[in-house]
Amino acid sequence: MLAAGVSSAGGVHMAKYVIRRLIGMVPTWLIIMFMVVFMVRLIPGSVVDLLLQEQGGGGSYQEGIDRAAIEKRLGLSDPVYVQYAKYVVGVAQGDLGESLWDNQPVTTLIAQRVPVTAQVALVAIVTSVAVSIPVGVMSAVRRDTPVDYLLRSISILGISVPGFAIGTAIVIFPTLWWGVTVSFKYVTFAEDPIQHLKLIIPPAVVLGVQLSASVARLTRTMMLEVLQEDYIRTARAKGLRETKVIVKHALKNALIPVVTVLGIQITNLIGGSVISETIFAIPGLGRLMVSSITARDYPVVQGIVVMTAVFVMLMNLAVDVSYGYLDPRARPA
Amino acid sequence: MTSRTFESRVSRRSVLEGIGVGALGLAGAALIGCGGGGQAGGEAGGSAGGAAGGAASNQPKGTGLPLTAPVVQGKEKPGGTFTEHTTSTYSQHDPGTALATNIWHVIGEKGLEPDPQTGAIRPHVMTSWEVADPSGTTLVFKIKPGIKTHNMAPWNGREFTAEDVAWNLERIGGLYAERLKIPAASFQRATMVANLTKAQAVDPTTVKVTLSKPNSSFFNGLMDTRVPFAPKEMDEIGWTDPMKMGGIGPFQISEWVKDQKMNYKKHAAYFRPGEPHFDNFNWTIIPDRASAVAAFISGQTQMISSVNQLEIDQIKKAKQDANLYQWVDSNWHHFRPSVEYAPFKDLRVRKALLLAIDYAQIMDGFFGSGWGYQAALNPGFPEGWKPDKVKTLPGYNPDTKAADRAEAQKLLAAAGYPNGKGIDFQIIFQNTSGAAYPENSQRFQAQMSQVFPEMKVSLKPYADNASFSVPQAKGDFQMVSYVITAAPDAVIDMQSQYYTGGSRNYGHFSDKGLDALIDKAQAELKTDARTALLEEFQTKFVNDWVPMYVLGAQPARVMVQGNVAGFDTTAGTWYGYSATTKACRWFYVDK
Repeated sequence: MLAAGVSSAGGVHMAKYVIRRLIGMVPTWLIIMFMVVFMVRLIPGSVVDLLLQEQGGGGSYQEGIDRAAIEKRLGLSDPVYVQYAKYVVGVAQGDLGESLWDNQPVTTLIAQRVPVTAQVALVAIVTSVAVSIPVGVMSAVRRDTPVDYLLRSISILGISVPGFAIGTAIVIFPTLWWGVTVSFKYVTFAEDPIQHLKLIIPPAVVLGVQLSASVARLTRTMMLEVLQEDYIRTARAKGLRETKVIVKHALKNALIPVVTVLGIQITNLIGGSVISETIFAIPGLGRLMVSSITARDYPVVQGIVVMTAVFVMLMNLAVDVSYGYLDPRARPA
Repeated sequence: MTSRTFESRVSRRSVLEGIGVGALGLAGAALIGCGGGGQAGGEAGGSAGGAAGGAASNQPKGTGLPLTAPVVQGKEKPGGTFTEHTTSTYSQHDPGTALATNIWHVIGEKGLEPDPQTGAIRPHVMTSWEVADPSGTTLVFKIKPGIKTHNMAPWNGREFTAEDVAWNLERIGGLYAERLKIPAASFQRATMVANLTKAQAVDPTTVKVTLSKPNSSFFNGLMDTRVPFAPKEMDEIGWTDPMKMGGIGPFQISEWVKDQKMNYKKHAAYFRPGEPHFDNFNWTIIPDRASAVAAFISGQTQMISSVNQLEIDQIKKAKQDANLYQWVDSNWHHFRPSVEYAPFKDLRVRKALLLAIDYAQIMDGFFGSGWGYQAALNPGFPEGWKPDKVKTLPGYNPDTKAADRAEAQKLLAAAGYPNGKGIDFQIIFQNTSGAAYPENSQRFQAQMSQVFPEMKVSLKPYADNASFSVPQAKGDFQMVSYVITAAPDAVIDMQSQYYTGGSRNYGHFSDKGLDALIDKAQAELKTDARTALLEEFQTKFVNDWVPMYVLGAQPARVMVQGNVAGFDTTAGTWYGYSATTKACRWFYVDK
């Protein structure tokens, strides 16, 4: 549905734009799948070797005994380009294949994990936006004051400290000081909503800190730029209250690039989830990725990468579309 | 002490000769009672393991190996949940083909069990084990009557009988490979029951085993946790869904969520009276090590294994009542040369390196104190040379290091490699977090450059097990840095490591004399004679063969919460072979 103020002609243009972008994604998607299929096979060691180890006698190398059978069963006996073609056809039909280890459909495995990661990411985004934008505004409005220096220092610290260090600090320091730490026994929301939230918040903090810091800095920069504009001076000259000038006139315009960056940063949360889910023992997509790489479970790795790539592309499209809505000058002609 | 080999049973053989097979087994069982060992027999089937005033202390227990095992006193607090952590849920569920730890280590039970400190055989599911004919090819086992399976479909607590045991022995031995369409080589624990041709139930509590030739390792092999028994219906049920698996172990599966938890509940009809003490035995999945330490300190888990000194210090500071248990372990670190690399074909070169290595510098460097010198056999084996002896040998003796290194230089020069010139090899290892291999390799590299200035040693780390195991298993290396967990029998261990074509003989070492000696030891049923053969093996290992540079047996360090008792009775070199099921002997105390 089109937002108010967008004409029906504009809506048609936008729809065409979206369709063009979606079609344009197909080659990108094919290239990504091509790279994924090849690259996971370039990782030293293979699932066949692992299976042979497990099934081949005390770690002895049973070359030739059942390697061919395992490869055939796993569909790894075909040339890689054939595997690629089969994979593309499968994906087009919504079939991402099966785990090489427990034969579960990859879509099922991913579907089980996505909600967990999505919840962590959502909490991270909501809290970081809630914190970072007021901080950025405050910093800009109080430019070159002690408050500004303090907030900027905190932002730089947030950007500088890697997520794994923050996560480890959250786990370790309370343990060493007070003998308590976060719980590592995962429960679903349905099992125990309060406990679930307690589990979700620490990894969300790890993901949110860097996001908050970068958004806060960008908000500050954009606010400073906007506050120099003539229309802000005009608004003040008209006698508007400063709060109204900042919130209604300055912030609204300053947020346009912030929204763009936020959209891109959200995709980074997926990468960050690998670390935060490992530290806090959260069974999300990041953990599935790590365990699948370790086990050389190609279909699962491929499935996660392909799904992530689709998500990133759609997020970029959403950002571009929203940009058009936020800034009429950026709408497709 | 119960003998680990056949002699005490063979001595009774004359009584049994000439009697029918079924009667043989029964007579043997009646004669030897609980396995023919006074001490072991006395402890069989009892609940002694749960006594707060257990036997362990800070003193060595007959093996001469250091052992720290505090005894926790207090009134037992029955029930409760005991939680441990691990890094991932198990992926392989067929104990016959699985390489790593699997569900059967908890829900299953092995036939016999080792004394954790001496390695002596103790009765367990099998209450007696006997050689029943003069040729040594017929064995008779008595099974403890009244053992119940878990109370779940399709077994519903039925009796576990000799038929189940016979089925397990044949399956472990790979006799069903063709029928199951699994390659025979997949039954990687077959060496534990080598030479087995048939196992049959004579009556509900007696199993007769037929061997193609004598195997002095057979009884010891049945102590390995990696050969647990399962109900005979398991092939029909399948080995894919853990929630459908039921055994005879102290705990039965209750919850299994991949990457989250593996939870077990008490098997109320477990065959050891009074055990298990805990109502629940849970494994929670914590992949990150720092988080695992935090989970222990915060009381979310009750024990943590493989703790290093830094972690011990952290835990002790935050959790003062936690107990540290430490012993010389059955895991031994080594550098294995490949004899495919020309210089290593020459005994003089291999021996020069043996003399040049500063073992203490490497092991102290990574582990600090608590490790044990080892030459060929792990010192935990009754037949194994103890650390005090190994420490006096050329090469191992820190006091003669300078002279040994001078001798090493002479040997290399005589072999045509003065100062190591012309020797250029690479060490491969797994570069995983917390592993000793990288540091061991770096120290070795530094030592070699110091002793042999013209020798070139390079290092090649691999990111994980999957990538490392391929070149190791293929023998595609010049030297490898790794660790081995000893099999519960010295002959099995030496056979897999050094025998021509041995399953872990990755360096492709081959020596007819070594093979012949191992064959002889496997066939030798008299304990003294077998021990003498293993003595000869150890002597030739360091003098005539040098197929491996064993750095030493690592220290095992486990920290357990202060309100958990009974752990002292399970601590020791052979703890690893019973760690999970022995949780049934631990219990909470009021403190």
